[in-house]
Amino acid sequence: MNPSVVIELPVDCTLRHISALKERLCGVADDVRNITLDLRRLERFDTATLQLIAAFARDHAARGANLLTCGNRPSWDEAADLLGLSATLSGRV
Amino acid sequence: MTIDLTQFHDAFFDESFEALDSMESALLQLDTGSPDPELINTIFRAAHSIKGGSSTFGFAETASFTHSLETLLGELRDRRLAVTRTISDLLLKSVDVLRTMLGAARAGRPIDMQSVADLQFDIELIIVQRDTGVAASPSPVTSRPHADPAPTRDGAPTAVAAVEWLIELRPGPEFFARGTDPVRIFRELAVLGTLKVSADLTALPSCRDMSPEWCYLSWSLSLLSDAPEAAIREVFEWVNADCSLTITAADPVRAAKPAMPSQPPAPAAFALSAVQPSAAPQAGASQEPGSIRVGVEKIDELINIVGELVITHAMLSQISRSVTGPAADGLRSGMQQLERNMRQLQESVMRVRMLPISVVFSRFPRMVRDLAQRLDKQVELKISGETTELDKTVLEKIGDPLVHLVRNCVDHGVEKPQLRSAAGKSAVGTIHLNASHRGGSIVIEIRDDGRGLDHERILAKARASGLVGPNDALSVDQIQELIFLPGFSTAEVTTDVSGRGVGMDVVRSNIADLHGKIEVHSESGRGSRFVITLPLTLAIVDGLLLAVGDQTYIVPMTSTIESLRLTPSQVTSIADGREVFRFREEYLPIVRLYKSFGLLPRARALHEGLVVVVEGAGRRIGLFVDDLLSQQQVVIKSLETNYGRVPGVAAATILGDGSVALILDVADLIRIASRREAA
Repeated sequence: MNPSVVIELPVDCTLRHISALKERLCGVADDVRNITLDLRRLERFDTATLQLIAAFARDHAARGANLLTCGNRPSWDEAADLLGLSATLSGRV
Repeated sequence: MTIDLTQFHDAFFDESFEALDSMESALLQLDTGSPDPELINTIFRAAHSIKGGSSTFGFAETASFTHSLETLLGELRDRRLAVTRTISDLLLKSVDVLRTMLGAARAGRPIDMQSVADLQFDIELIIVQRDTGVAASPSPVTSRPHADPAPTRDGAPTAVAAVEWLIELRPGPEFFARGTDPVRIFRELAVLGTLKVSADLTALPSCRDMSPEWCYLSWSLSLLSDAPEAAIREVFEWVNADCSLTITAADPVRAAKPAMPSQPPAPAAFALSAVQPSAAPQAGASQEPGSIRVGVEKIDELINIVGELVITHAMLSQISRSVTGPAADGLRSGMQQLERNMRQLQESVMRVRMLPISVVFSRFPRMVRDLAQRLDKQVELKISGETTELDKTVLEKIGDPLVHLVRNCVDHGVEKPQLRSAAGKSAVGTIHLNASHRGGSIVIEIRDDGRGLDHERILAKARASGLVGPNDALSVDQIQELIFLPGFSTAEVTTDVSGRGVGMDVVRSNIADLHGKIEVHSESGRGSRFVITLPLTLAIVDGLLLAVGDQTYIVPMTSTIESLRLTPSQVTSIADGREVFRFREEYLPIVRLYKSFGLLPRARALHEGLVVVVEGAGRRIGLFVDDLLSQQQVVIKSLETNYGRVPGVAAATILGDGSVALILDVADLIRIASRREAA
């Protein structure tokens, strides 16, 4: 079992690059216990990004994995709140 | 109660100019034929925001002009008109006109209404021609494509009952692909009142099974707001047909409240509310939550205080080293902790002044496009590293030198398409603008794939002008350096673009003023590369501390090449007691700093002290000093503000022991030495 994995989100995660992000997320093995999304480089994202991460978070939360974020991104939290996705993105659903 | 709207003017102008910048940038990226819908939305939103602000603040001409512009953009957005080169040019001209109008309004100057009216006529003509051509097919959802902005709540406050609005948004799968981003819509709604959002994820498949470009989410929103229904519907103005949208009012809430101040927090698990000055809804609406505008003078004051703290800390540190007794260890440990905190504070405060270089780079796509058009050339501008940050002052001063260099690349560097094709190159020339951090410096590179510098022609011109002797043999680097000499130009015809020989020396001296340097590397037929190295900030400099007599001087590290101890045999005395020494294939003059500043030195014989080779304004000299003390960062204090201009001195600083040390102006010292040589 892999105890943890860190996924660094690139600078631009908007719709144009969303498929590449999906490929990376799908590469995370199903036995990882702790998943950390590193938001430090992230500068541009949109609702499509948050929707994808929400699906990813929900999938892994369902099998008991923990999803964490690192990097102080007030705009990420603000967008998650605005879209009603805060709970899902924090792995609480 | 009346509200003085002029207090919001500065914010309105600042944000309008920012909106124009983003409008211009989006226009330059817009492909004619297959335009990106999101780019058109960006341009539309910018125009809409300027129009709303202009009408709120009473700038009627600007509001009228942007209304026509917005109408045209609405036609493009709804695909009733195609983006053509003519329309793209017209929109860019509109950006210029709006800049002029807003600049005039800000300065209280009259507006040249003739040019405004001419352009407005051209815009309206296109719309009228479209109306008389293919019939329009109105979008079922965009019911008011050219509606005025939300009614402003300025003037006398009126008591309006807050109403709970229930909004159901069920987007279709291609909602994102059509350029609509719900987070932006919800952000605008949050400005109108207290918003509760509930997302429905039932249609969202697993990450592996989903098409990430598709929208699977839908939302139920509750907005408690005193805004009229029209204002709420207007937020959804850009929502395309690919969704289901219902907006209904629940029962009016009894608690009537004045339109102006803050909203009460909702007792919900998650509630967002945004408060804005009621008189400036447009200005407030475009601000990102969590950010505020702060005057530069307040930041500078903060930086100044931090600079003083750095000096005080250095003094205390020095004293703590001599303290003995039981408290000494605790004191030194505390000082170390203070040093760490000081460094963090200093870095945080300096970061506040940092801005991305895109602020400067953003002007170049337009400039290169216009210049290339005028010169009948095809040029592609590639920009990278635009998020690299540097100090605001450095940023403001580097703009003009970069303009010179980029103009030169287009005018002199990139050849006309037929010449390029004949030389086996692509007809389209490329100029690459890149910025990056390297150590404690920022490096800006301007590279073209044009004809490169013509070394033979430069040398011939320099010989003809007497800048180089007829028999002097120069290396390639030395020949390339000639282009930075005052008045030097190989251009046969001077144009209003470049070629008057007043550019490159000014570029170098402007960069030297920023404690930076510029180098050129060029290959005939392959292109040129200009590399500018700048300090990240002008508030602190990395310096080499030099001892001369009982004084300490500081020379910026960016100007320092090498230090060495000379033996008498390496030094040659020439006329008038001047001394030179051989350094890397060239002879450099020796400047004895104790003589320059009238001091009593500890070392008079050259082999007793050290010579520091420094570079400025493209030339090098050797500074003779008693000793090297250390290398450290020092806080720059303006000497001119507090005392006056001193030849050879750029600024002052305060050292850890409280003493004042002068920071040398290397370029000025070299100029003084050159004048002495010439005399």
